[in-house]
Amino acid sequence: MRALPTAAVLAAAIPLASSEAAAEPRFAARQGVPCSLCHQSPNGGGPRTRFGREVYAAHRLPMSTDDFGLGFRPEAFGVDFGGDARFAFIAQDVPEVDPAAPPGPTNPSGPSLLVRKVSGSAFFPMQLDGYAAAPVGRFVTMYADVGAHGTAEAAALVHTEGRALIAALGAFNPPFGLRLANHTSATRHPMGFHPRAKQVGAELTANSRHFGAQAAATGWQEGGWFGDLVAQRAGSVRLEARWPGELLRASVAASLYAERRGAVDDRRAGASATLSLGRLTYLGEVVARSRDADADGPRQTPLAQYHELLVAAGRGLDLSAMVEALDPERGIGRRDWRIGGSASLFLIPNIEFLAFVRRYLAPAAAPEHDLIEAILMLHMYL
Amino acid sequence: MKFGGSTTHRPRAPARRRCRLGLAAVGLAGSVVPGLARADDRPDGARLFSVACAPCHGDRADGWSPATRFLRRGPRDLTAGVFRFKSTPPGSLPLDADIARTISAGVPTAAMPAFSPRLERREIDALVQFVKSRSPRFASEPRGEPIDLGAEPPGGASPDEGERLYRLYRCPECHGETGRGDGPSVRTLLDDRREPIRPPDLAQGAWKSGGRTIDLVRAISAGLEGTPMPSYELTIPPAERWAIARYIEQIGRRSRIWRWLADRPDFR
Repeated sequence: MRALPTAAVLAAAIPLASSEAAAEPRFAARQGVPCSLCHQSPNGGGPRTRFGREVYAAHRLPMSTDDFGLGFRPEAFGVDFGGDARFAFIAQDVPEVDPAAPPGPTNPSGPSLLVRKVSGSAFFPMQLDGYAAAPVGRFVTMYADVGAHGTAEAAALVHTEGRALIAALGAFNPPFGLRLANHTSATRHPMGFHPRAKQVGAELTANSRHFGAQAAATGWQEGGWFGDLVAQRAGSVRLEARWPGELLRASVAASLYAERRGAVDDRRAGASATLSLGRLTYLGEVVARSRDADADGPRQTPLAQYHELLVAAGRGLDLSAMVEALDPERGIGRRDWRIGGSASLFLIPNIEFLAFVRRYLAPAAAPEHDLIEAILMLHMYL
Repeated sequence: MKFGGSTTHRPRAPARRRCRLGLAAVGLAGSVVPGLARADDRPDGARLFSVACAPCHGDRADGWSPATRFLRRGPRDLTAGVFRFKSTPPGSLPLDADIARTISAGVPTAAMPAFSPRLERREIDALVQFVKSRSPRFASEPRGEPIDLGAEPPGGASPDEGERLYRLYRCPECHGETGRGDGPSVRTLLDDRREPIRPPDLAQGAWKSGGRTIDLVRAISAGLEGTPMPSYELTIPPAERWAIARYIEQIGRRSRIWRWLADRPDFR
């Protein structure tokens, strides 16, 4: 029985194990720049550009890499290598399911979920990603980001010399909204944006100082190759306007995503905003999703929100508070609210410590009532 | 595989040495910017520039890189041989020490980071020589002669006198009555790229020319080449320049809470 809480926590933590590869919208929001300035992928995360590696990471995290004689910069034959490793300790109250219980108000189509809560904790490798990026001349860059948990992103980028225009061909997450580092946030995984959901296709990105536009046409294979790419296809568009002032930096973006998986349509629309005023930064996003539960099922339209306020308390120290809301699906009839806070500390170059706490605000009869998640994470990156 | 390479940096304190050893034990030991030394262990300025400077200033040192359009004022075109922060008269070349100072200390409130202590002195010197090699001016023109900055009067310059002089020499025309960069001339100011430029908010407490009193004196004395800030070497005596510098420092000490809130402890 003692193994049950740990196993249950691990099972609950599996979604966390496919974390986005070091996408940090707060950095882009603070600078008023697009993700593609620091990252090879126009959607952010993963291998970094020369600027991201040599300037931002080297100078703007708490101390010089060289203070400690660190600064691995492995490269061979013109290929830059890197990676992300995240190890997490998660403690969580886990509801225990009683399969014999009759349907209840919180789960009308199945057994009552909540019988009792079991506290559990587990330590596990959350993410193990290896990167490789190689410029081929001035206008082409190849990159790959392979994760030990089965994620893989790779693309050939054809771009202008200044990367104002980038055409990507490969496997990637389609562009949509804020690519939050925590993919369990209400506007990410619950709305269908899982880091494992890589799609194969083409993407075009254009960025000027004040505007950004992205469009992607993608598909994915399930049980097949090109035939299923036709049956399972998607498209997305993201438009952004930025104001990179000296003191005030802001952006607003609108995103649309549509996919057809067999006979099921899934459409998502999102609006996001970032605001940075000195040490204070706000990240906010609202995402609506409209889809058929199945080909003959009722259409569901949940709405999710994410709001985060960050304070750069010091160089390399970020404190944040967040509020999330997720509308119900399947007619449960209740909106899930979550509040949380985090502290991110780049104490040592190439290493981040993160403490994250999240609490559900749900009625007493709900499975998530009083559910608290606490995560300590060690993030190492190159 | 270029793992490691010559170590070009030394730990600066015993605690950091212990940390370095500890981290080395978990396989993170390495060297910084591998392969930046020549075979004779002299720093390779070209390679240093490629790693540390080119991501902003461009591989050709002409200020053009993928970062250019996103940085507020754009990296300097080093091939033009025009340097903003120097101790020589307008129109003349900077000293090696001027270029080295900008590389070491960076430009506060701007995107140019401080490379000290990331780079050692000899590496910065190698970079200075490489930067000079990018502009033909250094090969064809004589070296600039440093302006006499004078010395601060015994007992210190008076900020109150500095305030009087600040108004006497019409600094508020551009810098504003309270140094906020909101003077009546602001809308007409252009830099050497013919782009609008505003005087800085001196009350911010951080100045592009540097954080020391002598840095402010140098900016007043030599001006800031490429900007509308003129040289006052011939119009303001050295002692008065020190007084104005002390007044500017006093402006910068106001509103500490706002300064803390407005500061971005990372990239600008």
